[in-house]
Amino acid sequence: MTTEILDIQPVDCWKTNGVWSPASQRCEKLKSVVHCRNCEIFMQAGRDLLERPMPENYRQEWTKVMATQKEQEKLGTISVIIFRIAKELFALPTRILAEIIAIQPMHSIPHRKNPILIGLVNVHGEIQLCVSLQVLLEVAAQPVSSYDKSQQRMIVIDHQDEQWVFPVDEIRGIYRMHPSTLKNAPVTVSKSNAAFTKGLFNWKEEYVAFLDSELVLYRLNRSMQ
Amino acid sequence: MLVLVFFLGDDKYMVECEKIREISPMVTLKKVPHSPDFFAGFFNYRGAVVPVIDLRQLIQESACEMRLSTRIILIDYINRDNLPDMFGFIAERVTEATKKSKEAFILPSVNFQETPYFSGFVMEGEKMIQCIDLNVLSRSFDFQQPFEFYHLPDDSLCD
Repeated sequence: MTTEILDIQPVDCWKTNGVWSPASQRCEKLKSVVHCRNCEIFMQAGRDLLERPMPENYRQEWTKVMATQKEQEKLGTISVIIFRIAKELFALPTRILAEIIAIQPMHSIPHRKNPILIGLVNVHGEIQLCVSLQVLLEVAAQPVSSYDKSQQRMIVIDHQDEQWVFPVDEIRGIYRMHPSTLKNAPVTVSKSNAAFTKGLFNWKEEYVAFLDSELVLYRLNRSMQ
Repeated sequence: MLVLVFFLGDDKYMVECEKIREISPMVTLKKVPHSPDFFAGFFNYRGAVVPVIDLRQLIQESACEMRLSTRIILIDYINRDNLPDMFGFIAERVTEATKKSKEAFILPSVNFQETPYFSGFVMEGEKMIQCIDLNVLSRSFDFQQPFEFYHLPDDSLCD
């Protein structure tokens, strides 16, 4: 009975005269269905794939999968973006992230007295304030020799119509973190750094400081006035 | 409401999705000697032992063919002791779920004692698709008692 199904010649008209064919002669049906994926023949071919007999180890594999307990992801995780400034890893909630851009040339502002404001950058034709989280968080600078400029990026954050841009030394990625895994920052951490940190969490055997985004934004705002 | 469409042989059937817990690919089931034909075996579902019936065997008296689209549909139901329980059934070509309005279901005026689990029909062009009432199907088995297909008394069909 199974051989019967295998004997069916596969129709691949979508490759010979359909949208995936290099030929200029096109199937008449395309006029009405526009794209092969709307065509009955293509749909039926897809269904037929599922009508194949089960491969040898298909059942064994699924038996194993279905017998194990489902891993339940904790509810209430929040998405964070993890980045590095000098040697330290920080995280900010992804919802305030607008985008990550390559390092843009910075236009310095004459007579600036504020060490946090490092200049102006052009983000898609808009001028944005570029700030230094390194100064704000009082992260010790790395020796210049250990710099790897190829990893550097700029993070654009957008929160309640305020946009800020800041350079980071590396983007580690976006990760889901549960607030219950946050640990208190050790007391040895420098005071200003600790004030901005909601807590530390373990990520790939490294500690990441989860920043209090509201406080960071508030301080940035205040420093501009 | 959302309904799951599947086939048994050449016939199309539907069940309501509400009671479906999960649709699992076909797995190896633990067969039990001297069990009725339609009893496919026990399923190790995430550590729980779930009885699985072959719906095609029950309705058409021939076993489901083992294709990639043959799957086990796991149903939550309340057993005779008023406890939540689970059973599964094997069906073929389980590839589609679709929405149907309540009005689309047409109840026939006769029902048969041997197949109390058939409820209404949904018309699709000239075709008639039979619906299976999972509540009745789950009550049709007595999984605690020596296992056999249980013919419901007539009065229970009226609800």
